Amino acid sequence: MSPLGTQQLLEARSAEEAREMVQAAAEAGTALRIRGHASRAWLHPIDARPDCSELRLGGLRGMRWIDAGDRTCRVQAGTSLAELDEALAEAELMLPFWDGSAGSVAGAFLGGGPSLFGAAWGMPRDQVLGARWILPDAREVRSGTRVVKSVAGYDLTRLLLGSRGRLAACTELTLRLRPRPRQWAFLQAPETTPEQRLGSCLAVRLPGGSSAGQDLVLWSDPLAVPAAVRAEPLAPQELEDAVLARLREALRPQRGWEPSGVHADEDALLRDLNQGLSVFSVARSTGWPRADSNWLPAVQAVFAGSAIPFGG
Amino acid sequence: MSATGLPPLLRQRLEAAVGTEHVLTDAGSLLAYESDALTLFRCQPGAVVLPADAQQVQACVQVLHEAGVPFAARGAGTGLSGGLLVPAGGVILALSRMNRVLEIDVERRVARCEPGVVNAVLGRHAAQHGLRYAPDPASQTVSTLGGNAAENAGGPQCFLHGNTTQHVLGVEVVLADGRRETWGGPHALSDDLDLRGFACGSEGSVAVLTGLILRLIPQPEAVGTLFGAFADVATACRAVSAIVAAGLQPLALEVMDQRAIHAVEDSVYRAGLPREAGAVLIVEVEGTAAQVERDAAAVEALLGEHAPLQIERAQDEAHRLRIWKGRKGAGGALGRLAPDSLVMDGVVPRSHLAEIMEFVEEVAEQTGLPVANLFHAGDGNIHPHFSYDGRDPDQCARVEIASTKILLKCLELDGSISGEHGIGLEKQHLMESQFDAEELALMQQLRRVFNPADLLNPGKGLPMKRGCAEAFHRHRHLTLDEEFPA
Repeated sequence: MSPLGTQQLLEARSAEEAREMVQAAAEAGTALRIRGHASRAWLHPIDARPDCSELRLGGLRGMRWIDAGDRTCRVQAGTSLAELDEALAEAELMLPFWDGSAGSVAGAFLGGGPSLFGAAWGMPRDQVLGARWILPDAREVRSGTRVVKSVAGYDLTRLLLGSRGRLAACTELTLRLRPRPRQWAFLQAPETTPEQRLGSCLAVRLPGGSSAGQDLVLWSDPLAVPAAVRAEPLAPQELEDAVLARLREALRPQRGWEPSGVHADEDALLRDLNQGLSVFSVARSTGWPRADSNWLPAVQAVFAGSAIPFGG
Repeated sequence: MSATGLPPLLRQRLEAAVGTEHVLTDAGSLLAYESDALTLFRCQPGAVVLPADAQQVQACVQVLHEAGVPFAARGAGTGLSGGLLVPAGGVILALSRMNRVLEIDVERRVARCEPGVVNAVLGRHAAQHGLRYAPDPASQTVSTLGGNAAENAGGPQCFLHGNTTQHVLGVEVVLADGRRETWGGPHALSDDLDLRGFACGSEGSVAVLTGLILRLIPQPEAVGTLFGAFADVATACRAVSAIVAAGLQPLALEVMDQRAIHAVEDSVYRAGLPREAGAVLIVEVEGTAAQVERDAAAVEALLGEHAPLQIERAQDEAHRLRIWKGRKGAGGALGRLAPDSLVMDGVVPRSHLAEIMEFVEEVAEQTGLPVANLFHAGDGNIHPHFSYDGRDPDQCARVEIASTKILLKCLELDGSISGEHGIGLEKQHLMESQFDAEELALMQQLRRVFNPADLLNPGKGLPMKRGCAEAFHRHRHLTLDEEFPA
């Protein structure tokens, strides 16, 4: 490989190639910033050095395996969420994560952003069991395991996810999966005020509570409500009645909202989720600015060893 | 520093921080703090200090930091890995007085609590608002939320809802040098660095948790609890796989073997489980009333395909609670059988459950000690429960060798040496089998970032130097290839 200059764009097609690129950068004293498909970069900006070269891992695509019995899978970091979802659909499984992005699966977690399934399944990173990483000095390490529970050692996975790629470059993820819902429903509601928007990570209960993905999350306007109904498909009318009744009960006294309808059409669901999310994301980028942690330099130094930390 | 005394000046300063009556140094009091629930490891602290709030914790930590005295925070002492002992002369910060539920925010479904709140007490507070706190370790009527978070505790409901870390939105901490910070928060979005996630499961070696911001979830509209009794554990494990393969998503999938059943049925935790069964599988489903009916019927049908000796469904809440009392009281019931117990904690991919349980049986026979099994089958999280007499060095050696063999087998099957109990002192010798040198070095370096003088719960979680082991009076150094004494 030729000596690495600054402000280059590097695109790796495999973890080994990525490691070689990181090593070359480390040897040349070049700072790198890590991206997947760069689709969420506007949402999760980092203050990278202007002379950084960029290493893109969006080319690390494809499933390693899906274990339907354990409801787990291992996937290369640059695989898009859509590709992942397609593979999981065949096994009647799903990753309970949706952020409306066409980006990589690793980027979904590294950004630390929200998921529309948050109320039911917690923080997106809760679905990540383990990962493989390249450190800025080209060391390769694993975090976590492939089993659904492990408390051995420090939880490096959680520390690394959400760091926006400034500690290590993710090459592979092991994920916890859930049974694929057999029916979806969502709902649109009237426009809300900006104050309501910013405050409205409001979760409303479907009958039966949050378990098994039945919860609703209302974000922003237009109000997009995914309700993954897992069990035997309800009759459309039964579903609509259940969702609407609950929402009326929950929303009207609190916010004066009158839900306008329930749809069980997946295409419409995804379209509206995207629309809802983009509004939400804008609100979030202005409404919840994230300051760098005071601990970042010390933690970066641990992961970077003798090399320049990712992001410079 | 002697093992029995605290330097007078240090004592005065701690008394000034928390009040004279809240610094315990008499032998009788210290005895209660010499171990956690894994009595294989004991070490009497120099003092036990009981702060009333975060300010007092901060004051104590500042004193201990300046004096260079090792210390560890303790909740109820129900830990199962020897995780909160301090070297002789060290100080235990017992947080049991910090037991207030400060706020339940119903709309955001968030609770703010002090760390000494007992898990089940928060559950009762949340229930008044139609909410619940999901993590439910068997110790939940005693163990504290701070301890649960520090160990990243699990429990039966974790099959559906995940370990404690998934329910901790934020933590208020006192750092090793006495500074206070808050990591995470009620917004459920991640901070820049997820130090909250890093602190959960760090076994008290990153910071002292002085406040918790916890995620609450709604109470289900309906719950259905069933058990199937089978001829043996392997059949129960096959039934677990069938339930998962059918796309069902129960709240809990718990297996108890015959020894565990007998111990429960002979104790105050009697649940009406069939004594003749080789194993019972307890399944709980939740959701809407209609959904619970459908799921329970589906589970019942699947249990029926595995030659059950009996299938029983809880007919009312009292019956349901009786079944759970049996499952959650099993540890206590087994504790009656011998002076000491070692509850192992390993994880395998669920598809390897039958294989690991067969191996546990083989090892159990070699030890010649009674072993019972009760485990979170849905998570592949096994808990062989060895009864032994800690006064007999031969028996101690046998259970430790058995534990090592079983946990190494978990790793061979691509699992983990701990699903929910932590590493503590118990499993340090196995860390190098699960993690490589680079990974362990990273963990050691991160520990030094937050705990540079290693005063905060020293010597736990990560492999330690030989000299350190002696500080805990560990009776011997374990090796991986030891065989049972003849």
